[in-house]
Parts: sequence; structure tokens; C-alpha cells
Amino acid sequence: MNPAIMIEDLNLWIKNRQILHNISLRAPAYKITVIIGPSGSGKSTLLRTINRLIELTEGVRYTGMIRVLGKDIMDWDVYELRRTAVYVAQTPNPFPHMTIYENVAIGPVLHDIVRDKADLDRIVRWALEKAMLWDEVKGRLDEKPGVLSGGQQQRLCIARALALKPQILLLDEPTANIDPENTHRIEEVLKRLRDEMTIVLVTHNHDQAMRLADYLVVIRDGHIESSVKPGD
Amino acid sequence: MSRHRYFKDKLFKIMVFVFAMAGVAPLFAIISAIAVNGGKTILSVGPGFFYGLPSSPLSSSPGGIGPALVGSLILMFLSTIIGYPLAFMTAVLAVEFPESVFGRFIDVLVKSLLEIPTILIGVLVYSLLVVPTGSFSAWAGAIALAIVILPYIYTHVENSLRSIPADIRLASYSLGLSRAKSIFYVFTCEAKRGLLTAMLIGLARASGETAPLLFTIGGNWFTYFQGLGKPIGAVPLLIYTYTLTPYTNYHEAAWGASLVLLMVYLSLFAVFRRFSKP
Ligand SMILES: Nc1ncnc2c1ncn2[C@@H]1O[C@H](COP(=O)(O)OP(=O)(O)O)[C@@H](O)[C@H]1O
Ligand SMILES: [Mg+2]
Repeated sequence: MNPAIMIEDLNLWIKNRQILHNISLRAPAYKITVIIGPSGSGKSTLLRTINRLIELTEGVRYTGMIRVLGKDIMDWDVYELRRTAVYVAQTPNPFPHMTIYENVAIGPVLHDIVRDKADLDRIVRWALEKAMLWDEVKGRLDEKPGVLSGGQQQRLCIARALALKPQILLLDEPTANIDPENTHRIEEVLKRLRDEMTIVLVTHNHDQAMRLADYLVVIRDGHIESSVKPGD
Repeated sequence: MSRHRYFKDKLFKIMVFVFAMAGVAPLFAIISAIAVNGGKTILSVGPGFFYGLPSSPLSSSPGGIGPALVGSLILMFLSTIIGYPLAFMTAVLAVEFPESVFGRFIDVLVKSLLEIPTILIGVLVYSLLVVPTGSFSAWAGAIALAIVILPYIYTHVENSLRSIPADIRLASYSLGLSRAKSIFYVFTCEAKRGLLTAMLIGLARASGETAPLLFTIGGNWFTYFQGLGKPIGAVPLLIYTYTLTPYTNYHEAAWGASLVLLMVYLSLFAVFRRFSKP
């Protein structure tokens, strides 16, 4: 099968400092590819390059080629690309002035992928269930996300991403500042999603990488050090 | 703590208190003078002060300020309706398109509007609108006020857009939302409170300005709203005009009108406080 993401010889500079060096990697479809490396090694940058979020950073320049679902990212409509390969940030960043419901609903609404309110209700519920958050928030969808714990907020952000029905999920250290209980839940969420979408997960937690990875990529100082299939 | 340090500390606190009192004393003096004198007028006339017509100069009653009050409300509303969207779009341009030369140019231009004496804006509108149409009008006043309040609204909208955290911006763009959708749906929602505050600031400024109205509205104190192309009254201009007359009952009416203006101001401020509470 074609890889969902294919990166060939990526070099990236921010303000003329090279951050990524000769990165080549493949993320196979319907698998979890884990990128592990110490902090500052360029993991977030790499992840944001895949859906061109990196273009929001000032002074970015890159060479090389990235294909998402077989198509060069420069040939994609950039907003369609970001919706197809959704990025979930490291620190939970729900929209604080929107309700829990609105946080999940805003993507489908603004991308015009719902027919009516019932359809929207269905998508919101589906996304929250997928993120294993539904039972905890179903009675307070009208409240602001500030009432949720950090771990719940991170799952809300995952639900917000899932509501776009993406084909690829780009997760940036989703459990970095989160308690063990919530970490466990989020890992459970990801394992269940594996059959439905391609997941690229960034972490610096070795044990987590071992628990989740179908493919493991080690990155250090912007270089790929090794790329293995755990168990081989 | 040594006795010496104790006394120094005490002395410092007393000094701070004294200076603070000296700072707010004039404000209290103004407010109490307006409350006492204005209160007397309003009590003597009764509720008619708010909706009645002015009395003749030598009568014993101060009369009412109805037309001017309604005129003020209309002018506040119109000028905010005109000024707010302009200020909002300008602020969006400056904050969300910082790379555009035009955005930076606009920023400097609008901020320099703050420095222009407001009477010049009145004169400008006079020559561009009042002279060609041959009449003072509500329109002319609303446009002059809109230009005056624009930079104030702009500054507040700009601040509230700038204070949207970077991770909220990232969240919006990572959902694949375009810049326009991010601005009009996500950022405006996240900056709602600041945007409303900006509107109140605009209304409050519009309610109190006199100079831009001098050459534009024509000061109609005796008839209620006649149409946008016709002269109209406003409370601050009424105060100014009445104070210049030699008539005691008009001076009393001016005090009452000042109290009304103060109440409009304070109620906008109260709403403002409600919105700015976290
Ligand atoms: N906006 C930026 N401006 C300048 N340097 C940056 C910026 N973002 C990231 N970097 C640099 O790029 C390198 C990689 O950062 P990052 O991708 O965040 O690493 P990681 O996610 O692995 O911790 C770091 O040295 C960081 O300082
Ligand atoms: Mg990172």
C-alpha cells in the first residue's frame, strides 16, 4: 500500500538556522508511526511541516518533497490539507470562550460538512465518543472547556480534530503534561483509532513509543537516527 | 522592624494617601457639583426634564432637554454604526496582515487621528458636507463623531485582537480554517469582551464630544428628530450653548443636562465593568 505520508530529503531552515537535515520517512496508512527524540530535536517542526502549519512561523524555508496521500503538499489546497491531516498541539488549546459543544462543532460547521443540526449533533457525539470523553461531558456540553481537567481538555482537542473526519492525525506529545490515568486513556483512544486513520505521534517518552508504535523513527538534532519496526 | 524604619514606612503610606486624595479630589469636586446643582434642576422640573421642551429664556422654569437627549442617543448610535466597522476592519488589517505595508500605514494614520484637535474634524466635515448640502444635519454630526471615535475604537479592537494567545491562533489554523474564517469566527469570539468594550468606549466618547458638533449639527433644541438631513440637538452642545447665554434658567438647565450626561457616562461605564470582568 502507498504510504499516507512520504517525506523525501527534507531540509528546513528557520531564520537561516537549519532545523531539519535530510529527513526522509514514510508513515504507512492505518498504522501508528511514532517519532521519538529529545526536546529541541525538531519533532514539532517536522510534524507541522507535513500539513504546512509551519508556514505560520516567520522565516521558514525548506527544500525536499512531502507527499500526503500521494499528492505533493504544494499541490494541495492548504486548508484542505490541514483538515485532512490534522495537527493536535502539545499543550491542550481548546477555544476558551466557546462551549465544549462549539469547540467540537466549529470545524465541521466552518468546513460545511454538515447538513443540519441533527447531523452536527451526531458528529459531535461521535467525535467525543471516539476521544473517550463523551461520558464525562455529555451532561455539560454548554459549559466552557475551562471546567475540564488538563487531560480532558487534551481529549477535547482530539475530539475537535476528529470531528473533521481527517484521514491523518498528527499528534504532538499529546500526553506531555498529563497525569498517568489520562495518558492511559489517550493511548487507548489512539489504539482504537488505528484501524480508521493514519496516526503520526511525537513523543519523548520511550515507554509510550514502545506501547504504541507500529513504526518508530528516532530523531536527534534534526537528523533521523534510525527508523525501525519495533519487534524486528 | 526598627522604630526608624517603622516611622519611615508609616510616613510613606500617609504621603501616598495624601497624594492619591489630591489626585481624585478634583474629580470628586466636579462630580459633587454636578450632582448637587443638576439634582436641584431635575428635581424641580421632574421627569419632564428628560422629555420636555426647553422653556423660554426668561421663564422661571429651566425647561426640558428632550430633543437634545434624543438627538444625542441618535448621534451616538449612528456614529458607532459608522465608526465601529471601519475601526474593526482597520484593526484587522493592522493585526492580521502585519506584513502588508498598507496595514502599517493605516496603523500610523489612524493613531495620528488621536492627536488632531476634534474641532478640526468638525470644520472638515463642515466644508465637505454642510457647505455643499447647504444644511446642518444629523448626518454631518454622526460622520464627524465617527471620525473622532474611530481611533479610540481602533486602539481597543487592536489590543484585544493582539491579546489572543498564540496557541489559540495555532488551534484555529490547525483546523484548516482560512485566515478570514479564523478572524471572523474564532478570533472575534475569543476577543468578544474586548470588542464589546471597544464599542462602549466609542459610545461613551460619542456621548461627550462637543467640538465636532459645533459646525455640523446646527443645535436643534426645540423639535424632536426631523430626519437625518435636518439639524439635530445633542446634550453636550446644549450645555455649551446654554452656558454662554445670560439666562439663569438656562444655566440651571445646563447643570441638569450635565448630570444627565454624567449618568449616561456612568451607565456605559457600569456595563463596561460588567464586560471587563473575567
Ligand atoms: N519559531 C521559531 N523560531 C526560531 N526557532 C525555532 C522556532 N520554532 C522552533 N525553533 C527551533 O527549532 C528547533 C526544533 O524545535 P521543535 O521542533 O519545537 O523541537 P521539539 O518539538 O523536538 O522539542 C529548536 O532548536 C527550536 O529552538
Ligand atoms: Mg515539540
